[in-house]
Amino acid sequence: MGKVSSLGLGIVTAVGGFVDMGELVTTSQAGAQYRFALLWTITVGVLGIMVFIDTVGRVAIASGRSIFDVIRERLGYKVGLVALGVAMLINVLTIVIEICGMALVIQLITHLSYLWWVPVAGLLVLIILWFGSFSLVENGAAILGLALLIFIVAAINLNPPWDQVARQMVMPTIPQGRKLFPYAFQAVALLGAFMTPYEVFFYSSGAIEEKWTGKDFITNRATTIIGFTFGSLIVIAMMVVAAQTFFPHQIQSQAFPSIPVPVITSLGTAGFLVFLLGAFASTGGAAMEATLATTYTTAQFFGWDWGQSHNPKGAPIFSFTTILAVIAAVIIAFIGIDPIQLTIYTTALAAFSLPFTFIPLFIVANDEEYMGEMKNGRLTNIASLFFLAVLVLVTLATIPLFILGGGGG
Amino acid sequence: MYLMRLVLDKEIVDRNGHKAGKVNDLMLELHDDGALQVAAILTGPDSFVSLLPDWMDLATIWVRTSLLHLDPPDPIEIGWSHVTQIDVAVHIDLDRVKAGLLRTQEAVWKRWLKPLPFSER
Repeated sequence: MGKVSSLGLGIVTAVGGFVDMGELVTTSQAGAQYRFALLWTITVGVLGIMVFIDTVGRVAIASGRSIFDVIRERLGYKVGLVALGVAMLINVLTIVIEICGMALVIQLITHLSYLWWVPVAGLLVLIILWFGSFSLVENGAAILGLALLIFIVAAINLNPPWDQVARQMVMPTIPQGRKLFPYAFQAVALLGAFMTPYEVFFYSSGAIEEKWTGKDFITNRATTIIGFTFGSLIVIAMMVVAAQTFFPHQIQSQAFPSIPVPVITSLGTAGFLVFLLGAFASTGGAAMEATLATTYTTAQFFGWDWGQSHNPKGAPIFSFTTILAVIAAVIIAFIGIDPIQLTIYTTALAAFSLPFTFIPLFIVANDEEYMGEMKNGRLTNIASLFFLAVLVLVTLATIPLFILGGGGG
Repeated sequence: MYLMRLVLDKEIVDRNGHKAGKVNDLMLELHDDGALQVAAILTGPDSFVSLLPDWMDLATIWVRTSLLHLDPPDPIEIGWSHVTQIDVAVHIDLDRVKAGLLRTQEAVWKRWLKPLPFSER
């Protein structure tokens, strides 16, 4: 059961992390506007997140500590506080967009404005987190999130030119007549969507919750590779179906109801219903994970009791922060910012923030005192440095691209 | 410097193996011969905030007195003689509850969580 549970952890971060509101929106927009020309971001994003998730798993196994515990211990409170502040901002915004995602799915069914459903979605997230165990959050979202495999079925059914798809997975190109800056901003948003910080915090803390030991080293690596490969197939399919459906007609996918259109075109009402289930589970799972990521990081930084295994009395500040995070997210959602635009901005901001987490992680992963025999090997360091360079470049480029690229519009 | 690296920002673990906060600062004693000696480790939110800008002090005082009904802040001192071991954590021979290391967590529980439905689940 332990091995199966560990495997589930990899899959849930693949489905709940890779396929969340960020992916639903950015891949649909990218496919509609640029056809297959941004598929390469999936290759970079998936490989990058594999390297970093594998590293946080090893840090948890080797030191018995979660990422924020170690960041503060190793780099001090000043650096830790900056990393915590940035992480909290992105995490709360992620909760906002995921709760909006849940509400938008209900809107598709009821035709009542999503704003009516935002508090309902927030309450549902709180109830599950209040009463549910870690394994319920992890496995419940994972199993229901599998419904998004429907995108793969739809992609096969739409019969895209697979040779072009394969080529564009490794070859960045800008379609004729498209401007560079909006294209580059869209690429940044996609990278931020694939490498969201909350999934790193959730994975790291989950490994501690599940009491991983040295025996889980292989499990960590296997689930990272299998889990994220599995997740990437879904997002490839999501971009491909949007490209096949929207791009030939020059239709942009700027609203949530357009996201399932390719599935409906390909598979009809049955496909739509499966999409609704998968989208609700994925955004709901991501909302819970992002909420936990917020509370995990805060409690770990200050040394408070934390974990879903505690009841509220056993970890009061952890539980209280959970409530505050969800309430804050619901209030922000009520400001009425277009959730699709907010998703693009949040994923771009996530991309901007990634070095704040990954640079300390890289330093810790090379610290023999913490890591012992599990410290980064040469190959992992080369891969990590490559992706860190990409992330720093992305961070430096995000704000100028936001201005020059008109926010991706 | 070595001691700071060894102790600062590490997790404190009480005699029962439970988390008891982080080492936020150290209290040093200056002896007549000019030697510096660690007198205590400082923990709790107040010792942390004292490291930050002044306005955060005011915010913390407001949170503690108005929202948590706690006394005005004072860092919690743990005498160096209570430190029994230093490895990935700083181990102390005190019970975290009796030593008052859970004051803030207990206040949040009593003031904000306990009155909620299903809080004792």
